[in-house]
Amino acid sequence: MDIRSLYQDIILDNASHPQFQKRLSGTRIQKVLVNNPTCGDRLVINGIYQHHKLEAIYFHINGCIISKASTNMMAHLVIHHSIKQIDDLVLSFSKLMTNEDFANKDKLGDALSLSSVAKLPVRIKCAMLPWKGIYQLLHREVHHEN
Amino acid sequence: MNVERIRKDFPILQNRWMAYLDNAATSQKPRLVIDAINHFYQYQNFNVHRSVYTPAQQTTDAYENVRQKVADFIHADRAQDIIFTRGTTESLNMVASDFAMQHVHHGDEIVVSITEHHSNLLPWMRVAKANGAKLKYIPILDDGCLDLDAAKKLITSKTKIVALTAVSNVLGTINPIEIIGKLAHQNGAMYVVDAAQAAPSIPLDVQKFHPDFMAFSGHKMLGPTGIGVLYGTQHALKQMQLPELGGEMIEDVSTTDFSTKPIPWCFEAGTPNIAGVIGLGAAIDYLNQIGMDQIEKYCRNLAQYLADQLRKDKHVIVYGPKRRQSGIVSFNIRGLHAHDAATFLDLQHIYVRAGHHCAEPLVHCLGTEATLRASLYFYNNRNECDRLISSVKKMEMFFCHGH
Repeated sequence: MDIRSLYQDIILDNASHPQFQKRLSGTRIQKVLVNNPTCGDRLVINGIYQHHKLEAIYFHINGCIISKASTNMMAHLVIHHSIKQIDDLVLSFSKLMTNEDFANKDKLGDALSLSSVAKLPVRIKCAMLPWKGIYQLLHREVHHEN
Repeated sequence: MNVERIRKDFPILQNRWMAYLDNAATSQKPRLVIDAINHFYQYQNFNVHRSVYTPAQQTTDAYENVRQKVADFIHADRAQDIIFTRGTTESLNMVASDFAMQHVHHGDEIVVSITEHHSNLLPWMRVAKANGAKLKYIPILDDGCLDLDAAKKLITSKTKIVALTAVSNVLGTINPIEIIGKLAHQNGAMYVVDAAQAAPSIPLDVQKFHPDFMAFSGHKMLGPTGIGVLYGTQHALKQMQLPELGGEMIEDVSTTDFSTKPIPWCFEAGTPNIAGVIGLGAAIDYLNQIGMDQIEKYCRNLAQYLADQLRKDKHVIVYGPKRRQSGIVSFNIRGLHAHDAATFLDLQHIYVRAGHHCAEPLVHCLGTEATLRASLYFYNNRNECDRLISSVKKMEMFFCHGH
């Protein structure tokens, strides 16, 4: 595999220019910390889910380029979406990582550029980290409301 | 030492694409070791210590000969000081669970160093928590060497166990195991040495540093996986409870009681890893033939070359002392995560470790989350180091200056 197909410009840009860096305020903030123990990657995601959508998101990450880029891309994709839509994105992204087919590929936008990671099984957990995080964050919220 | 001739002994190194620089994780195996294991399964596969027929006795002799070989390798008094285990981790856990758990009490102290691998840390943490003892860490100095002044203050009459790695698997430093051993014994503590990285890289002489227990693994010293050693003095082993009961370790069994075989056989319940022991014996033969002094010198010099070249690059941080002590060189490239760097190297068939190397407290103490680690062995050469150095430059161009 060529290094450029893994570390495309779009990935390097997402990793080095993270958005969603403004801390959230309010009382309804949900927080989650996920990490990859073998790499030392640590990701904190804060979100506000109300009116049936994710209204705001903030993240802070210590990690590699793949996990950083994936986090920024994830945040772009999930904001203003419902749990159902976000679950579908999480499932689609995990299928991208396992080389399985899924409908409407374009919905993953920039995150499609991470498809080469599927060829490097040891790095899949880096790309999956934020998706695991957002899933945990939202489902903990739902659990609370029940 | 003719490295190019040595490389021919290792089938896996015939793959010219590969630069294997992850020897602290596991070493490659010479044909001699692979053949010994093959030969065992093809011609010698009989159980040990139980059968009366001749070939089984020959296998038992071969197995016990390796016990003597291991004892000679570390200059132990007798073969009976050697117990075969699955590896360093099992050996250290045995000492913690079957010795320390019974002998460390509330208010006692266990002293380790901040350079420990998790295998020589978590078992002690558990003993300390379970028994209300205190776990104390000997720190390192700025250059990565153990802080001896701090050690002198930390090891006191309250100390019941001092557990120390002989060679750091991250910094490649050789800890002052003789001095710490003296401190431990002067204060009446038991001295446990983790020799996982030391056994493959430096001559080990227990008569010089007098550990009560010492652990190492076969697979890091050319032997197969799943075989390791627990060395213990007879005095220490007599105080250790039996970790497992069952076949082979007994003398007599009635419906109400049993008596056990003498040390060390009472510690080896069940059919042991016979092929592993045979393979370890062949590995020790190979190492002896080259000479541990030669191996130590060669790896240290090659690591010095690698570290010096890396240090010339202002984007690279090399951890540990300027004068390298073993074949291990941990480093980072500023602004680049170790995992991205390791993937870059992987795609060029250069294999190094990236992460915290099962020594998280130490890596945090170095002020980072992860490092790259090149660990060299006596079959590595300058050409492989040069490939690593030029790839580091290429990756700086790629990641840090656009591509």
